[in-house]
Amino acid sequence: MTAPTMVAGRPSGLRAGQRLAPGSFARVRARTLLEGCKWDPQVGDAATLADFPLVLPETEWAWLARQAEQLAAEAALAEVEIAGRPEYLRQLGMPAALRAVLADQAPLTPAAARVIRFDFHPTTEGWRISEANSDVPGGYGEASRFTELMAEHYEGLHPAGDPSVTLGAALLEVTAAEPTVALLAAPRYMEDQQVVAFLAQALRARGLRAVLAKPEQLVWTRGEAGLATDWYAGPVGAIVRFYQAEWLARLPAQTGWQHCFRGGSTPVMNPPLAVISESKRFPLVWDQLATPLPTWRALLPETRAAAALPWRTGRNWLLKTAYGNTGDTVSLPDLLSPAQWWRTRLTARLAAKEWLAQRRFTSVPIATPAGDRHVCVGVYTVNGCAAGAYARLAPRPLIDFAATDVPLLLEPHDQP
Amino acid sequence: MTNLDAFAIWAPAESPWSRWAKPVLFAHLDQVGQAEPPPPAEPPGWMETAPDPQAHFVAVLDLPGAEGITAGLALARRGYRPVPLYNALPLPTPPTPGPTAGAAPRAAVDMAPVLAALRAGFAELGAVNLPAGAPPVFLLDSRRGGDGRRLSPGEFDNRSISLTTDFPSANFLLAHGLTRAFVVKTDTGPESDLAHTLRRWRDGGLTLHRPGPPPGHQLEAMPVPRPRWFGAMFQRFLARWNFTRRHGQEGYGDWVPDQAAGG
Repeated sequence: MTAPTMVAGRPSGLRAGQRLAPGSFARVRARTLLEGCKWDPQVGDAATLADFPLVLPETEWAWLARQAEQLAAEAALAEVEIAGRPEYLRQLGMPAALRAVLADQAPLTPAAARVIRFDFHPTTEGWRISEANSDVPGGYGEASRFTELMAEHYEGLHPAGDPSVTLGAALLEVTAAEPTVALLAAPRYMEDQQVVAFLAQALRARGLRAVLAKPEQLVWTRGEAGLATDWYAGPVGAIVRFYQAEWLARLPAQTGWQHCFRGGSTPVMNPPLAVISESKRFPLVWDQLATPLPTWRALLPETRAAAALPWRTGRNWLLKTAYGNTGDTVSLPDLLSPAQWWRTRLTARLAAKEWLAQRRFTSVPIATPAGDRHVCVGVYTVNGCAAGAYARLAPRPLIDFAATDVPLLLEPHDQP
Repeated sequence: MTNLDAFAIWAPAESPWSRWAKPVLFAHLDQVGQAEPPPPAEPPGWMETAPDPQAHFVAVLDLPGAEGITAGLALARRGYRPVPLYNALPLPTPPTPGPTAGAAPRAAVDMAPVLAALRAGFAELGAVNLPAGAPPVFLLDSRRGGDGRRLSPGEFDNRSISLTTDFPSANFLLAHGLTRAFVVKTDTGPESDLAHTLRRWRDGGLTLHRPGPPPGHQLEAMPVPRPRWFGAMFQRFLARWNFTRRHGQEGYGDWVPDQAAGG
């Protein structure tokens, strides 16, 4: 048993559970890989599935869930306000083609569902978020199947929810007339393919026809989407886009990608305006908005334009791009060599409209059977309601593609 | 045989190298039609000169389709542990009912022969009593980037790339007593995605070898020129950007990501 974690001087109750017996974990791992579409269980020398859970009191989870729901509600209001102001869109660092579509007057394409994952970290100042995965959040298989399989071995503990089940229910509602869902992902990248493959399983379990495709295989006719693939040709009732908005904007215009944002009548997940709060430069426009964002202001560290970062004093800040993946561009000075940090800052200066600086928080590691680990608890909201968690661990205060996925299980408050 | 049974044979828990086995094909063994396993073939000429597994070698076979599995099983009989690194979704599975446009979908890379060979190799590999410490032979499909033809619009694009993070590091290999790599590959291009891994291994202290030309196939040193963008910062980010930039033209990125250097 590990000691309770102190967050902002109070116990958050977050702790690591005991390791599962090797034989039991081997079975859980194999089933997660084959049934849960976890196709990247090893990244270099790092195993990406933990053989123990994170345990959180239900009361603490209720607080996190409430914060996530408030963040989602505030983001939705701010996105609408920003979409009507092209000068704000310019500050977000999004590609010009995408900005032009968002600033257009055609009706917004309807939402099939809205999923956001807010990444919470225990810090010396309490729980803080590092970012919101607002456009194409992943981690469903780990948050759903892996967590469920691990929970079977821990009596009295239970998952915080199952985002794939909640999302499946939401998509079922919008596909009553046409039960075919197109799931779009970039070919060649299994870390993306595994997400849509898992969601496709979840949708098929609900009786929907889930069809994997790439965006170029969508066919738009008078705003209605269909698919033209060798394995399915016909209409679709909804689109699940696991293909980032800024990537879509690089496709040729004749593919009709713009209909995923405006002028389409087939519902799309995530909705068009999600790309606004996906931008890590989203806070740079807050002071210009009428929409108050009290929860965001309380939980997200101060953010500045990268160009505003003092050149000589900046070690309390990290740099990252407005649009990135799994922490790929997150740069912390003490995790880089002086030369790398200098090059990063130069890059951020030269591409100032695409980068930003975020004040660093002090992550509080917790003791785990694998040693002290920094924690990220990604809280999903589906259509505004908390729906589960994707938790990760890392030996250093940076959660990236090589982080370890760990099931988050809840315990009644009166348990030790 | 269930998918889990097959995976347990190809990636047994007791082998330290099983962690790297790619699961995607095993998740689809029961969903794809039963293709004929490859017919018995003469062992390739280089097999005679393949190093003894006691000689501190890690092996990498980058061969087309099922050839890698056939050769990997032959090396298993000599004491190597085959580790499948096939990382392509075979089909947009399961076959979807409804108003389809035609017959069975065509994929950019036909994985049916590989699936058949994995199934056929199940019994053979299970019968080989490999010790837990057997050195690995990593199996790759040299067709993973496609065959160079332009895909038809409706075709299933299951091309894949090999990343440095698909392999153990040089440090890990050295810590397990493996100081040399034996590499068999058909791709002779200078910008192979595998070159990033091999170059990292070389820089990390391994010596690289390959079979020499016929008829002797004697082992010779393998040069690995520094690939483009080797060791660059933000490689994962840039690789994705590069790929999506070219994606509309059906291009294929000319460089591949390393481990993220930017943190």
